[in-house]
Amino acid sequence: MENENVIELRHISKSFPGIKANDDISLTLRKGEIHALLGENGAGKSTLMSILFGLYEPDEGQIFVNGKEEKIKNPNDANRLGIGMVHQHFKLVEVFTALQNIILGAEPTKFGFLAPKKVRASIDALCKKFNFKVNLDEKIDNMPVGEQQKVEILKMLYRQNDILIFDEPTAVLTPQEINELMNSMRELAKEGKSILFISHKLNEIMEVSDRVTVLQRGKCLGTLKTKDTNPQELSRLMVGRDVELKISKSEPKNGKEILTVKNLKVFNYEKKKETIHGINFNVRAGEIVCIAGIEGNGQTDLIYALTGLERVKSGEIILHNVNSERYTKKVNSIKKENWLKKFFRYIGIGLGFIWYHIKFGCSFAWYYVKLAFKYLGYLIKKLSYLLVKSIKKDKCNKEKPVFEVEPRNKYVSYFEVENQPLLGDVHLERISIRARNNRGLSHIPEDRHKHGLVLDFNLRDNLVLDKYFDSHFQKFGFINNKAREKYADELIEKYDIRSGKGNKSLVRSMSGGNQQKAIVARELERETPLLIAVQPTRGLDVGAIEAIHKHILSSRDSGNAVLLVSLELEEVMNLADRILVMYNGDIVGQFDPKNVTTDELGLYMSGAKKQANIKAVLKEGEMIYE
Amino acid sequence: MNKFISGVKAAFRPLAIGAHSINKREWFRNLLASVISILLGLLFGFLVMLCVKPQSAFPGLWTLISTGFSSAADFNRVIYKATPMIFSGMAIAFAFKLNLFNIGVTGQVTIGAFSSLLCGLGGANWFVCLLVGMISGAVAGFIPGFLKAKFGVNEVLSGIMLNWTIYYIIGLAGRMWVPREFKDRINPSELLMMPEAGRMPSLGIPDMQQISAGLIIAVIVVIIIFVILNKTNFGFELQMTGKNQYASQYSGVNQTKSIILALTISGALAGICGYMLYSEPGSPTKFLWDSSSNTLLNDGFNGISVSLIAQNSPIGCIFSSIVLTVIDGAQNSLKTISENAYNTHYTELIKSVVIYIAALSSFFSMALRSLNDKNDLLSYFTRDKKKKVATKEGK
Repeated sequence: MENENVIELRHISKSFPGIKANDDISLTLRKGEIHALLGENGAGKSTLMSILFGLYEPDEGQIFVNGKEEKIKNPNDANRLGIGMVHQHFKLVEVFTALQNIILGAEPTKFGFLAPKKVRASIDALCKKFNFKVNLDEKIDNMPVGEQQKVEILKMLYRQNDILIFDEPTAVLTPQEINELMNSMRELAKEGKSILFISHKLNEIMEVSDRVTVLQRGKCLGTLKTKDTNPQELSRLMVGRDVELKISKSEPKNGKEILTVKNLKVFNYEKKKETIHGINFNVRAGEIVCIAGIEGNGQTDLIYALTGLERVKSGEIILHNVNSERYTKKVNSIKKENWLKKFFRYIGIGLGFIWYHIKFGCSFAWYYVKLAFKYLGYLIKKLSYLLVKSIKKDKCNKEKPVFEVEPRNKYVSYFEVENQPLLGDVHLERISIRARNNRGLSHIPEDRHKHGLVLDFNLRDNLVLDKYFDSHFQKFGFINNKAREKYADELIEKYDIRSGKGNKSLVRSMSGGNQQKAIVARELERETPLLIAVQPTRGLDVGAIEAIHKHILSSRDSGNAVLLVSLELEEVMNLADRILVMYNGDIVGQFDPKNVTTDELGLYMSGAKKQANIKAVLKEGEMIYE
Repeated sequence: MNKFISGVKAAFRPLAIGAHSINKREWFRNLLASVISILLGLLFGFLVMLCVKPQSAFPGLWTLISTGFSSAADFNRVIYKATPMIFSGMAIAFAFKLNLFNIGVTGQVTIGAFSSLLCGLGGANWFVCLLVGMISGAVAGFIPGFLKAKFGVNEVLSGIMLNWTIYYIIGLAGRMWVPREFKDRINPSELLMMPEAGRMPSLGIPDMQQISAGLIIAVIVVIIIFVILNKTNFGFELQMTGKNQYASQYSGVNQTKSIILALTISGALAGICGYMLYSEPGSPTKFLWDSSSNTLLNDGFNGISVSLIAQNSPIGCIFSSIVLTVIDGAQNSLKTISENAYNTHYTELIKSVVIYIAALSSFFSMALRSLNDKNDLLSYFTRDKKKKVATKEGK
């Protein structure tokens, strides 16, 4: 009974245009075991699970469930066969309560009306059995992520699914929650459920799984018993070479301040509440500052405010010492005149011309002559002014004053701020996104599909998404495709971006990891004094994470400031020179990663602890750790 | 049986284009989808004719296809009717690149026609009239664009409102402010015909005198729009904003500018369409402003189906507007093909069925895109049979 195969995949193959996602993969899942599926990004883990769950049909191969051959054409088939899946992003209705979500799709009825009370007792029993602490009447909106995940698991148990698939379940959890999840997975396995568990994190796999199957580029490298292997061997199998699991880094050079944030408050119009309550911090040249915290504690709004995607309610964001020639050149190439005014002027000339023409008949040649005289006069005036200016050079060439934003009650026109001089300190909070980018800020966005990429463009165009206006890539407003292609090929080689058709492949058809690599390549290549990276390694495999971490570190070592937001504590501990913990729109602690453990950080992240004098410390800009 | 199937397949082998070669180039896939949808539309039109009056269905289908090309006069008619439609189609297509549905095209066409006609009656050159029409259309396009960009007003709503506003303003202006010498003496709610100087010059092709310089302008403008969309930074910004608004915001594109300019250019194109509607060489149509009739100009709305069939490609607009005018022009001949001919209701029905199916071309484009790399078109349609055979043999 112990060794009975619940699921048997035989010689599964699936290909997409330009890429073979699964190539002759065989896999068995025994009753009551936890089977981990390990592989790089684009190795075909998600495709394989989608085939098992009925989202794709395999090109070749058979699926046996409980010894019978089955064709799984859609998720309903999978459900019928007792296969359930917890997706990486939960599929829950946020305004429903936990109970409503659990019964959704398999509602108990009485005389055709909903009767949730009927099954409430059995769900309560399930909770008790597996030691889940879930309030069934709470709305999903108000739940922490860990609890939401439990609702997802309950959903599968309620449907009496015996085969559970977990797609990267630990990506969004705190260390404490991860421990709880591991425990409940073991409980479930004891009860005779079979679990397929997708993860990149080697230590979790070592801790919880019975067997591991390793995929590499669509091929199955074999199944190992977890007892007989170690993390080094697994990572070597997965990537094909030895990987440094812990990056060695040099001591941070504490340079001048690059970014200062003072009393920043952000009001989120969608949630209709203030999400950031007066934050102070700074980032220095040559250091990596990490913002740690559980998802939804204001990190997103903070980064949106810094990068210009969200308006600032009050406070200051100052980028120091912007004086690099590179950026000056770029900004000079951008038009400085108000385009709307220009537009109106031309329209006005046109309308005046028409009016004149209608009123005075067809002798409009005279109008042109008049107009020409008028503009000749204007031109002479301007030229003479320039002449005088060049003669009196020493008088006019005074040093430009350092720009400062006027007091808040005074109206500052958009273009005054936009054209502020490029020397000295720049106040970011009132200039446009492009102006921020050109003054030395690059941003790896959190949501790569929403902000980071245009999925229907090809790779070439996506790699120049925020510098297509650079004089290197255009001439008189016309695109220089050859320069773009050459640049794209360089980046593809340097950052190892894999795709079906090189720089011409559609980004939509690329795997998530390679999409992320493309964004990272684009932003790191700009070499700006400040890099803001939000979860740069989300959903990437060990090899790619190592590469990206190395790139970020080299950016730091060359004297740039890095602000990193990450939900994964492992990454935070690995990279950070200084850790700021965010909870509920405030910074609650500042730590040196050498003197703190992940468990301690977890306590701060969940709001159980708070440093007493943190506000004052950050306001002073001191680097005192508790 | 299997032999028979394989024989049929071999016969159709040349037709079986590989999915790979279809999906290799996007424009080729779109072209194929448009052709398929037009053919299917004709087929459905034919079915309607079969249901209504079977004995004249075959000559009816032939009339539908061939009327536009049967004589020089007919071809002449097709081209000069199609020329303004190219512009209105392009107006819709251009705004669609930004996911904006410029339904205000009708109003922009109307105001373009009115202002350019007034200009022409005042004695202006034809090119000046064209510019005037273009600029007034652009102004009318600017308004919904400005409202959308600055205040987030839905461009469909403000476009429809503006259509009617323009319609009644022109009614009022026509009654009160237009000088009497510009008006028709018998029917004062009509403007006089565009004078000779204001009409587009004829290209002078024998028997086809009404084919005008407008056709050449249309081709040039199509090329300009194509270049703007695909070869310039501005077009890159437009496409980026259309495909992913958030990413363009992230990259720092000035979205206000993109939206306003896109709708203004769209309006300018519609304005040109308005000028061309009332100024073909020969005997142009007269412009009516009777505001008690409560109907908008139809020509703006035709632009929607033109751009739908062309799948928002500016070059495709040329061909799709010709197809539409061919089908439209065949209506009169359908009424007189035999004793047992179709009356007006049926011809309208047939026309709308053909156009309706043809406008589904983007659906076919999607279907073609979903083809697998392995399969060609033919095996895609016979795929299920193959599988069944395989499973039977397996058992």
